[in-house]
Amino acid sequence: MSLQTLRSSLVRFRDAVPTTTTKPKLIQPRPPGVLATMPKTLDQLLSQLRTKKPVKNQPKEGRSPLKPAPKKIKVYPPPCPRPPNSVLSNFTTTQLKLLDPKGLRQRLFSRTNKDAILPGDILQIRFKDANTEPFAGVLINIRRRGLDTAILLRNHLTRVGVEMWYKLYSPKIEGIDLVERKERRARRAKLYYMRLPKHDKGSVEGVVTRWKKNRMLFGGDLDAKKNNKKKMMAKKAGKK
Amino acid sequence: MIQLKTMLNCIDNSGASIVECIKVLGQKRHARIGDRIVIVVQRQRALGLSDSHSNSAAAQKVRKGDIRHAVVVRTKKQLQRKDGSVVRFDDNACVLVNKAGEPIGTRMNGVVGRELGEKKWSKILSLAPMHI
Repeated sequence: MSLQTLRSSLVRFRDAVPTTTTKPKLIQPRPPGVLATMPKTLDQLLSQLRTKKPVKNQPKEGRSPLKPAPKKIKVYPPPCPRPPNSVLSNFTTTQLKLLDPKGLRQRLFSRTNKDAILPGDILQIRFKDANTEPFAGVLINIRRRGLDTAILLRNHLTRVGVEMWYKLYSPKIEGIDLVERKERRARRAKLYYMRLPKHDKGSVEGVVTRWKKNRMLFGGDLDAKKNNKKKMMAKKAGKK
Repeated sequence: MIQLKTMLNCIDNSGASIVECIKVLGQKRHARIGDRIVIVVQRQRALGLSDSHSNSAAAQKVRKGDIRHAVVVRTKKQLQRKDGSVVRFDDNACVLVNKAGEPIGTRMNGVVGRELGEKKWSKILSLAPMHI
């Protein structure tokens, strides 16, 4: 292979490599004077060796003297280091900051929190929408999926079993109340056996009303406050 | 997932107690809450005991073997809502309607799904004692 063809092929190779801002130069254009002093034949080389003249770009042993010495290819580090978190986990954290800024709901069901809500407890979910009545029930299952964390509540309404999944971080939910704890920790994470007639707890309405009464005694009735707000709003509207 | 041969509870005072689905109306595989089906009455309510408040004529509107239209109001198959919540009942239940879509019974006992309102069954929704 002649020098020119080698060079042209190398140039083609360089062009094929996608151009980036930090592209290492693969080939240094040879200064014009070098080619003139380069040995063209073996005889010339031998004569040069005999005269012990300094030969530029002297090839190493075992290589064809016609081939130029291999250039050192500069190796750069990858363009930007990988972010420590994946895109999905970044998204989860940003969304959680939006939906649960204080991390209260996260703590409510966290595994590390000693006072966390556990399966078997009776919960009540209040909604921001005033038309939707709060739903109470026994916590049967906690589905821990980051942003999509959901809880399954079971109750009886008009003697019909009803189960509801709610997303923990749903913006529609105003709050989650712990009505009653299970006396003993449930020995299972999923209490699906509570669907069986033998283990079914039935309606939790009585428990919830008792709890509401007790809370009223201590003056912490959220529903009453809400109703008062509604009344005030209605009064204001009436005055106008 | 109500389909051919599914047995449903009838929760109105039309006189039917247990009905069997014989057709899902519309191009559907299964009926969900708010879907219309054709049913055959399999068991009717006992005459005097069914509803002491309503007159006996109301409790006798349909008889065993009658073929009627009905609207599914509860399903055992869970149904996901747009906000991500899921509702699931312990039984399948329906309400009988006539061809025009008006409920045959005058009262209903039992909770129903809220999807009825979205599917133009607000009359049934208002008759129901509770909806979730």
